[in-house]
Amino acid sequence: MKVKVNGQEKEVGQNVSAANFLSSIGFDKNSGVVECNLKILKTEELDKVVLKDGDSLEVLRFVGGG
Amino acid sequence: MEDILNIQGLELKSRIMIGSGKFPNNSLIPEIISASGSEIITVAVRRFDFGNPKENIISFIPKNIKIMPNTSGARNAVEAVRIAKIAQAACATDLIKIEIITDNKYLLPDNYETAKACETLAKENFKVFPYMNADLSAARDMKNAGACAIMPLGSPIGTNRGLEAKAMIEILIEEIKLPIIVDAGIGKPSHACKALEMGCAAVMINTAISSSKNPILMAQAFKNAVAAGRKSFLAGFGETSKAAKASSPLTGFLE
Repeated sequence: MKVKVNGQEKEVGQNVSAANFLSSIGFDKNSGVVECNLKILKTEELDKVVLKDGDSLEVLRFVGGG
Repeated sequence: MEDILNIQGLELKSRIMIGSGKFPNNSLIPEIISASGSEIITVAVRRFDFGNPKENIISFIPKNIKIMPNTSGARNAVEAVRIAKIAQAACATDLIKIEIITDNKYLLPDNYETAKACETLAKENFKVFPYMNADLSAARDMKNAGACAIMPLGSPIGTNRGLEAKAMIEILIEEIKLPIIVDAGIGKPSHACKALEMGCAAVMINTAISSSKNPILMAQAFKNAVAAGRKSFLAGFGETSKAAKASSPLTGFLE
Protein backbone atom coordinates (compact mmCIF):
# COMPACT_ATOMS: atom_id res chain seq x y z
CA MET A 1 0.00 0.00 0.00
CA LYS A 2 1.00 3.63 -0.36
CA VAL A 3 1.21 6.58 2.01
CA LYS A 4 2.33 10.15 1.43
CA VAL A 5 5.23 11.55 3.43
CA ASN A 6 5.81 15.28 3.07
CA GLY A 7 4.00 15.15 -0.25
CA GLN A 8 5.90 12.17 -1.66
CA GLU A 9 4.38 8.75 -2.16
CA LYS A 10 6.08 5.86 -0.36
CA GLU A 11 5.43 2.15 -0.28
CA VAL A 12 4.65 0.69 3.11
CA GLY A 13 3.82 -2.83 4.21
CA GLN A 14 0.70 -4.02 6.04
CA ASN A 15 0.39 -3.53 9.82
CA VAL A 16 3.33 -1.14 10.12
CA SER A 17 3.26 1.47 12.85
CA ALA A 18 4.00 5.11 12.06
CA ALA A 19 7.04 4.90 14.37
CA ASN A 20 8.53 1.89 12.61
CA PHE A 21 7.87 3.25 9.15
CA LEU A 22 9.35 6.69 9.90
CA SER A 23 12.35 5.13 11.60
CA SER A 24 12.96 3.03 8.48
CA ILE A 25 13.22 6.18 6.37
CA GLY A 26 15.54 7.99 8.77
CA PHE A 27 13.32 9.92 11.19
CA ASP A 28 14.09 9.77 14.90
CA LYS A 29 10.73 10.26 16.62
CA ASN A 30 12.26 12.67 19.13
CA SER A 31 13.59 15.04 16.49
CA GLY A 32 10.34 16.54 15.23
CA VAL A 33 6.57 16.35 15.07
CA VAL A 34 4.34 14.16 12.93
CA GLU A 35 0.89 14.93 11.61
CA CYS A 36 -1.19 12.07 10.21
CA ASN A 37 -4.12 13.24 8.11
CA LEU A 38 -3.81 16.71 9.76
CA LYS A 39 -3.92 15.26 13.30
CA ILE A 40 -0.83 15.84 15.43
CA LEU A 41 0.52 12.59 16.84
CA LYS A 42 2.24 12.69 20.19
CA THR A 43 5.55 10.85 20.34
CA GLU A 44 4.00 8.01 22.33
CA GLU A 45 1.16 7.69 19.81
CA LEU A 46 3.53 6.96 16.92
CA ASP A 47 3.96 3.38 18.10
CA LYS A 48 0.20 2.85 18.35
CA VAL A 49 -0.87 4.27 14.98
CA VAL A 50 -0.92 1.61 12.25
CA LEU A 51 -0.64 3.16 8.80
CA LYS A 52 -3.45 2.70 6.28
CA ASP A 53 -3.39 2.98 2.52
CA GLY A 54 -3.69 6.63 1.52
CA ASP A 55 -2.58 8.10 4.84
CA SER A 56 -0.85 11.47 4.53
CA LEU A 57 2.01 12.16 6.92
CA GLU A 58 3.66 15.51 7.47
CA VAL A 59 6.95 15.25 9.31
CA LEU A 60 8.15 18.57 10.65
CA ARG A 61 10.95 20.08 12.64
CA PHE A 62 12.36 23.44 13.67
CA VAL A 63 14.78 25.32 11.47
CA GLY A 64 16.36 28.76 11.71
CA GLY A 65 13.91 31.61 11.24
CA GLY A 66 13.27 35.16 12.33
CA MET B 1 15.42 49.26 40.41
CA GLU B 2 15.63 46.47 37.87
CA ASP B 3 13.98 47.25 34.54
CA ILE B 4 11.91 44.17 33.69
CA LEU B 5 9.78 43.78 30.59
CA ASN B 6 6.66 41.90 31.66
CA ILE B 7 4.57 40.47 28.82
CA GLN B 8 1.56 38.72 30.34
CA GLY B 9 3.76 37.17 33.00
CA LEU B 10 6.71 36.53 30.71
CA GLU B 11 9.47 38.49 32.45
CA LEU B 12 12.48 39.57 30.43
CA LYS B 13 15.53 41.53 31.51
CA SER B 14 16.72 41.88 27.94
CA ARG B 15 14.88 43.97 25.37
CA ILE B 16 16.35 42.28 22.35
CA MET B 17 14.91 39.18 20.75
CA ILE B 18 16.99 37.21 18.28
CA GLY B 19 15.99 35.39 15.13
CA SER B 20 17.85 32.19 14.29
CA GLY B 21 17.69 32.37 10.49
CA LYS B 22 20.47 32.65 7.95
CA PHE B 23 23.50 32.26 10.17
CA PRO B 24 26.54 30.95 8.32
CA ASN B 25 26.69 28.15 10.86
CA ASN B 26 24.18 27.23 13.57
CA SER B 27 27.07 26.51 15.94
CA LEU B 28 27.42 30.32 16.25
CA ILE B 29 23.99 30.57 17.89
CA PRO B 30 25.05 30.12 21.54
CA GLU B 31 27.72 32.84 21.25
CA ILE B 32 25.36 35.19 19.44
CA ILE B 33 22.69 34.73 22.09
CA SER B 34 25.24 35.36 24.80
CA ALA B 35 26.71 38.43 23.07
CA SER B 36 23.26 39.96 22.49
CA GLY B 37 22.01 39.24 26.01
CA SER B 38 18.77 37.97 24.49
CA GLU B 39 16.57 35.58 26.45
CA ILE B 40 14.34 34.64 23.50
CA ILE B 41 15.08 33.21 20.09
CA THR B 42 12.66 32.58 17.25
CA VAL B 43 12.60 29.47 15.08
CA ALA B 44 10.53 28.36 12.09
CA VAL B 45 8.71 25.08 11.37
CA ARG B 46 9.50 23.27 8.14
CA ARG B 47 9.28 19.80 6.68
CA PHE B 48 11.82 17.33 8.02
CA ASP B 49 14.78 16.95 5.68
CA PHE B 50 15.23 13.21 5.21
CA GLY B 51 18.43 13.95 3.33
CA ASN B 52 19.91 15.69 6.38
CA PRO B 53 18.25 14.03 9.37
CA LYS B 54 20.87 14.98 11.97
CA GLU B 55 20.54 18.77 11.61
CA ASN B 56 18.53 20.04 14.59
CA ILE B 57 18.63 23.72 15.43
CA ILE B 58 17.18 23.15 18.89
CA SER B 59 20.40 21.39 19.90
CA PHE B 60 22.26 24.71 19.46
CA ILE B 61 19.91 26.73 21.69
CA PRO B 62 20.95 26.89 25.36
CA LYS B 63 18.38 25.39 27.74
CA ASN B 64 17.81 28.66 29.61
CA ILE B 65 16.74 30.47 26.42
CA LYS B 66 13.05 30.67 25.57
CA ILE B 67 12.04 29.44 22.14
CA MET B 68 9.40 31.42 20.28
CA PRO B 69 8.29 29.57 17.14
CA ASN B 70 6.97 31.62 14.26
CA THR B 71 4.27 30.69 11.77
CA SER B 72 6.28 31.68 8.70
CA GLY B 73 5.05 29.90 5.60
CA ALA B 74 1.43 30.48 6.63
CA ARG B 75 -0.69 32.26 4.01
CA ASN B 76 -3.84 32.56 6.10
CA ALA B 77 -5.11 32.25 9.66
CA VAL B 78 -5.98 28.56 9.34
CA GLU B 79 -2.45 27.66 8.29
CA ALA B 80 -0.96 29.84 11.03
CA VAL B 81 -3.06 28.11 13.69
CA ARG B 82 -2.00 24.72 12.33
CA ILE B 83 1.69 25.67 12.44
CA ALA B 84 1.33 27.11 15.94
CA LYS B 85 -0.10 23.85 17.24
CA ILE B 86 2.62 21.80 15.55
CA ALA B 87 5.24 24.10 17.10
CA GLN B 88 3.65 23.76 20.51
CA ALA B 89 3.69 19.98 20.20
CA ALA B 90 7.35 20.12 19.25
CA CYS B 91 8.65 22.28 22.07
CA ALA B 92 5.92 22.64 24.69
CA THR B 93 5.82 26.42 24.54
CA ASP B 94 2.89 28.79 24.71
CA LEU B 95 4.79 31.51 22.84
CA ILE B 96 3.96 32.05 19.18
CA LYS B 97 4.94 34.76 16.74
CA ILE B 98 2.20 34.96 14.13
CA GLU B 99 3.58 35.62 10.69
CA ILE B 100 1.13 35.42 7.79
CA ILE B 101 2.43 36.51 4.41
CA THR B 102 0.88 36.33 0.98
CA ASP B 103 3.01 38.97 -0.71
CA ASN B 104 6.12 37.32 -2.11
CA LYS B 105 7.96 40.46 -3.21
CA TYR B 106 7.92 42.62 -0.09
CA LEU B 107 6.95 39.87 2.37
CA LEU B 108 4.45 42.20 3.99
CA PRO B 109 2.14 40.63 6.58
CA ASP B 110 -1.60 40.22 6.09
CA ASN B 111 -3.04 42.14 9.03
CA TYR B 112 -6.58 40.83 8.56
CA GLU B 113 -5.63 37.15 8.63
CA THR B 114 -3.16 37.87 11.45
CA ALA B 115 -5.92 39.32 13.64
CA LYS B 116 -8.06 36.24 12.97
CA ALA B 117 -5.21 33.92 13.97
CA CYS B 118 -4.62 36.02 17.11
CA GLU B 119 -8.18 35.45 18.20
CA THR B 120 -8.10 31.69 17.73
CA LEU B 121 -4.70 31.18 19.36
CA ALA B 122 -5.30 33.54 22.28
CA LYS B 123 -8.48 31.61 23.09
CA GLU B 124 -6.33 28.48 23.19
CA ASN B 125 -4.04 30.15 25.74
CA PHE B 126 -1.11 30.90 23.49
CA LYS B 127 0.91 34.04 24.23
CA VAL B 128 0.42 35.63 20.84
CA PHE B 129 2.96 38.00 19.26
CA PRO B 130 1.55 39.20 15.92
CA TYR B 131 3.97 40.45 13.29
CA MET B 132 2.12 43.21 11.46
CA ASN B 133 2.14 46.23 9.22
CA ALA B 134 2.10 49.25 11.53
CA ASP B 135 -1.58 50.20 11.42
CA LEU B 136 -3.61 51.48 14.34
CA SER B 137 -6.92 49.82 13.48
CA ALA B 138 -5.30 46.45 12.90
CA ALA B 139 -3.28 46.75 16.11
CA ARG B 140 -6.51 47.48 18.02
CA ASP B 141 -8.11 44.40 16.46
CA MET B 142 -5.13 42.28 17.51
CA LYS B 143 -5.17 43.69 21.03
CA ASN B 144 -8.90 43.00 21.32
CA ALA B 145 -8.29 39.51 19.95
CA GLY B 146 -5.91 38.79 22.84
CA ALA B 147 -2.43 39.61 21.53
CA CYS B 148 0.09 40.07 24.35
CA ALA B 149 2.35 42.39 22.33
CA ILE B 150 2.35 43.99 18.89
CA MET B 151 5.24 43.50 16.50
CA PRO B 152 5.17 46.12 13.73
CA LEU B 153 7.76 45.96 10.99
CA GLY B 154 10.29 48.79 10.81
CA SER B 155 10.74 48.12 7.08
CA PRO B 156 10.35 44.98 4.98
CA ILE B 157 11.98 41.79 6.27
CA GLY B 158 15.68 41.47 5.65
CA THR B 159 16.12 44.89 4.07
CA ASN B 160 18.21 46.43 6.88
CA ARG B 161 16.59 49.80 6.04
CA GLY B 162 15.59 50.69 9.60
CA LEU B 163 12.53 52.48 10.93
CA GLU B 164 10.85 53.56 7.72
CA ALA B 165 7.47 53.09 9.43
CA LYS B 166 8.58 55.31 12.33
CA ALA B 167 5.61 57.69 12.36
CA MET B 168 3.11 54.82 12.35
CA ILE B 169 5.02 52.94 15.06
CA GLU B 170 4.94 56.08 17.24
CA ILE B 171 1.15 56.09 16.94
CA LEU B 172 1.04 52.46 18.13
CA ILE B 173 3.26 53.32 21.09
CA GLU B 174 0.94 56.19 21.97
CA GLU B 175 -2.37 54.41 21.49
CA ILE B 176 -1.92 50.67 22.06
CA LYS B 177 -1.35 49.80 25.66
CA LEU B 178 0.66 46.69 24.93
CA PRO B 179 4.42 46.24 24.49
CA ILE B 180 5.39 47.37 20.98
CA ILE B 181 8.27 45.30 19.64
CA VAL B 182 9.76 46.37 16.32
CA ASP B 183 10.33 43.32 14.17
CA ALA B 184 11.92 43.29 10.73
CA GLY B 185 13.96 45.87 8.91
CA ILE B 186 16.24 46.96 11.71
CA GLY B 187 19.66 46.95 10.09
CA LYS B 188 21.90 48.87 12.46
CA PRO B 189 22.31 49.21 16.21
CA SER B 190 21.39 52.90 15.82
CA HIS B 191 17.98 51.83 14.44
CA ALA B 192 17.43 49.62 17.50
CA CYS B 193 18.55 52.42 19.82
CA LYS B 194 16.09 54.78 18.15
CA ALA B 195 13.24 52.29 18.56
CA LEU B 196 13.88 52.04 22.29
CA GLU B 197 14.31 55.83 22.59
CA MET B 198 10.86 56.21 21.03
CA GLY B 199 9.35 53.97 23.69
CA CYS B 200 9.25 50.60 21.99
CA ALA B 201 9.39 47.82 24.58
CA ALA B 202 11.92 45.73 22.63
CA VAL B 203 13.28 44.91 19.20
CA MET B 204 13.57 41.69 17.26
CA ILE B 205 16.78 41.29 15.24
CA ASN B 206 17.88 38.63 12.78
CA THR B 207 19.27 39.72 9.40
CA ALA B 208 21.28 42.64 10.80
CA ILE B 209 23.30 40.18 12.87
CA SER B 210 23.32 37.18 10.55
CA SER B 211 24.39 39.26 7.53
CA SER B 212 27.21 41.01 9.39
CA LYS B 213 30.78 39.96 8.64
CA ASN B 214 31.21 39.53 12.40
CA PRO B 215 27.85 38.41 13.82
CA ILE B 216 29.10 38.09 17.39
CA LEU B 217 30.56 41.60 17.50
CA MET B 218 27.36 42.91 15.89
CA ALA B 219 25.26 41.13 18.53
CA GLN B 220 27.28 42.91 21.23
CA ALA B 221 26.74 46.23 19.44
CA PHE B 222 22.98 45.63 19.41
CA LYS B 223 23.00 44.78 23.11
CA ASN B 224 24.71 48.09 23.91
CA ALA B 225 22.48 50.08 21.56
CA VAL B 226 19.29 48.63 23.01
CA ALA B 227 20.48 49.31 26.55
CA ALA B 228 21.37 52.91 25.61
CA GLY B 229 18.02 53.49 23.94
CA ARG B 230 16.07 52.08 26.85
CA LYS B 231 18.02 54.05 29.48
CA SER B 232 17.61 57.30 27.58
CA PHE B 233 13.87 56.67 27.24
CA LEU B 234 13.61 56.09 30.99
CA ALA B 235 15.76 59.15 31.73
CA GLY B 236 13.64 61.45 29.56
CA PHE B 237 14.94 63.85 26.96
CA GLY B 238 15.61 67.55 27.40
CA GLU B 239 13.57 70.02 25.40
CA THR B 240 14.64 71.04 21.93
CA SER B 241 14.66 74.67 20.85
CA LYS B 242 15.35 76.72 17.74
CA ALA B 243 17.71 79.19 19.38
CA ALA B 244 20.96 78.17 21.08
CA LYS B 245 21.08 77.86 24.85
CA ALA B 246 24.61 78.21 26.19
CA SER B 247 26.01 75.39 28.25
CA SER B 248 28.77 77.63 29.66
CA PRO B 249 27.91 80.80 31.63
CA LEU B 250 27.46 83.91 29.47
CA THR B 251 28.95 86.13 32.18
CA GLY B 252 32.43 86.59 33.65
CA PHE B 253 34.25 86.78 30.31
CA LEU B 254 37.87 88.04 30.24
CA GLU B 255 38.11 91.75 29.28
